[in-house]
Amino acid sequence: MDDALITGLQRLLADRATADAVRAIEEGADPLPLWQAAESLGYADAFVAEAQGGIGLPWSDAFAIGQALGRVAFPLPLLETALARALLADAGVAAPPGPIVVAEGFGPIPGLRVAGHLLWRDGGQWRLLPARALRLRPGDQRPLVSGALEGVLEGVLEGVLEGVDAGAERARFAAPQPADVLLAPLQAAEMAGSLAAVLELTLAYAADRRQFGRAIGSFQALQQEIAVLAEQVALATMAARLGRADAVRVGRADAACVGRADAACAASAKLVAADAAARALAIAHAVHGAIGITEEYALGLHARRLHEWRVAAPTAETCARRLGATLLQGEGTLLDFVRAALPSA
Amino acid sequence: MSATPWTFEPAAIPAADEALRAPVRAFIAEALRDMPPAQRARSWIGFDAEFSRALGRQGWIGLTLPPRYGGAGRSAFARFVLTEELLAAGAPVAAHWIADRQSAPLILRYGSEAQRQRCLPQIVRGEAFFCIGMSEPDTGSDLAGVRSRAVRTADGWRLNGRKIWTSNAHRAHYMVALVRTSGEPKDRHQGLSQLLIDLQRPGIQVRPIRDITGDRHFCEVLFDNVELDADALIGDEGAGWAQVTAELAYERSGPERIYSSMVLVDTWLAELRRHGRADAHTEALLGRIAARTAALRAMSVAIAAQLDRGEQPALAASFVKDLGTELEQALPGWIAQALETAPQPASPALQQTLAYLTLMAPSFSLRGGTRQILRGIVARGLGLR
Repeated sequence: MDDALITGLQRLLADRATADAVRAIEEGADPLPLWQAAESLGYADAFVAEAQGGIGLPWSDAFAIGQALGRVAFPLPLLETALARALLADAGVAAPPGPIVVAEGFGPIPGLRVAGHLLWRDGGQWRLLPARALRLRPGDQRPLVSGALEGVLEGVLEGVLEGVDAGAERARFAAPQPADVLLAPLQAAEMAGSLAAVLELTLAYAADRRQFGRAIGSFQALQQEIAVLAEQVALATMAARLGRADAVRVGRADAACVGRADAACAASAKLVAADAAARALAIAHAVHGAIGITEEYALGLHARRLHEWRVAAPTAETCARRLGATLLQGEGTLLDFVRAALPSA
Repeated sequence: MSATPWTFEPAAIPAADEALRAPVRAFIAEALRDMPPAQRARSWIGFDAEFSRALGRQGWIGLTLPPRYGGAGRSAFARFVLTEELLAAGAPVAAHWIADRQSAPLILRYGSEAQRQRCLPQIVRGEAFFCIGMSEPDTGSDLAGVRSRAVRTADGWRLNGRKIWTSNAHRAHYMVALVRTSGEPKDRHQGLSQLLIDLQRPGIQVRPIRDITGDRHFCEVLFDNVELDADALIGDEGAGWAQVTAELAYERSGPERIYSSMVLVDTWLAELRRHGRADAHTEALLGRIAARTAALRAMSVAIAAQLDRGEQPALAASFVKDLGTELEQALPGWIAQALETAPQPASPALQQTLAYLTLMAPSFSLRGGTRQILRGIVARGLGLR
């Protein structure tokens, strides 16, 4: 990825998505200023072709963007919006302004309550639904930002309300791939970034906090635990990089190249990231002690996000079953499967 | 991203190196055709001199050594391909393994030209087997405390002392030993040197120690006034600590630390396929094993790429070894649990493989540096110590 672009994003995030700003939005502050700052730099159209007004980044850059967003626990669904806008642009549909989340079926959707639209996969089609058409309940981890989709207002999907009010469906087009296959590498990238932040917070706290007359990080028991935390972050980061967002093509033209291997890489990325997150957070909290479960401390921002991603589709268990079923259906050894379906680069 | 002292940049194995896989695989399939999985699961400690010599005839020992010493001059990627095929299949590599993995690179880097000429071609032919004399009765993880001592004589060195847990000392031709050549144990890293010991010399007694499963592979080695030539010294006198640290980096940086339980996984997988169906828990377990293995393998390939660029990925290797042995050790327990409620009983071959690995898995995080030592290295890399 172009260094200037990622540096620009990092600078924006450092300035605008501070822990206080993130916390304020999660407590109900207006997300629009932060959203507009990101949108004005073009990141919501990162993967839309230049000819169509976007930056035209390749999908593989989703990892770097996601990692940068995850590091600050960016509270808004920017990467999901970038995915949705790329899908819409590919289908020749004008994107509505504001955040868009992407999902299939019902259940928890990070950022659902701050999104203007949901790009919803149903019956092999993408359906662009305005937020007003949705029945939802507040998210379990971030009730004012995220939500769980419980249904769609009666009549919307049948087109009865078409053109009647702002709750009408805005577009409908072919959706060859499951939504969660597209989402998994994005979630894994953000989780990897968030886990890196968890490690940084833990290292800083271990160096700063003193007990028994010395920094707690100088105690071997904690050093060993923090080493495990670092290893889990490295493992999750590698799996996320191999999520091969670049291999998961967007849209109609590339539908034919969507294959099992790509779904496998996506599943592997999310699975490893989710498992690593559970273990890493347990260690981070153990090192931090009580401060780690306070509202004011930044670890909580990451803990909420990581746990929210863990339960967002596809869950780790879903990913594990998909991978396992694919492995069982095939032939050859585990190494054969790994080499073919989950390559090292 | 802030700078971290370790990196794992995804790397693909170049096609020319990947091309080695098919012939290696065919060779292994033929050589291991009648070997039951419980035997293959021994792999690292499976000693088969004829197998090693046959590998040598193929040019597959000392793959990365320069051609002038009989090596193939291949890349770290080629060695990765060869190694992962051997280990994943459970080939009996013990005879040549240590020489190939660490003694030969050590001698190439630190040895004299005469030592290289003497040892490397023999290693490459699968005719010289090596063991590593590091641990002693009072010196395990605290390697700097070695007490075996060599003193200079008119003709060379006189060695006295004891090594223990030395794998394959009873079948090896040479030992590369870390010994004290000056000072006292309290001098720690000062005064240590590495010696190349011909195990046929008078005064050397080797006693195999039976392991928990009844196998004999590790040994106690006693040195009683063993006279060694002057050129037994590898590298510089007193530089033993730096050299042994470099040697351990060779030991820790390959794909060795992922595949120790792979024969068990593949045997179980084959039975599941024969039975035709698996429950949700089993499917998920298989998926977890695949995903974890894939991420670890990618980290391992990334290290091969660093080696290929001439870098020294010692810290990154510690990450992979700790993560890898954790997976290797978890696998027997996971599979045992799945089998407890399996609708079909496991075959005797699978049960024997499981029983063997259940007992031996604890060794996976001992050999080449314990889990706690490795985590200490990682903690140092993190700036905690």
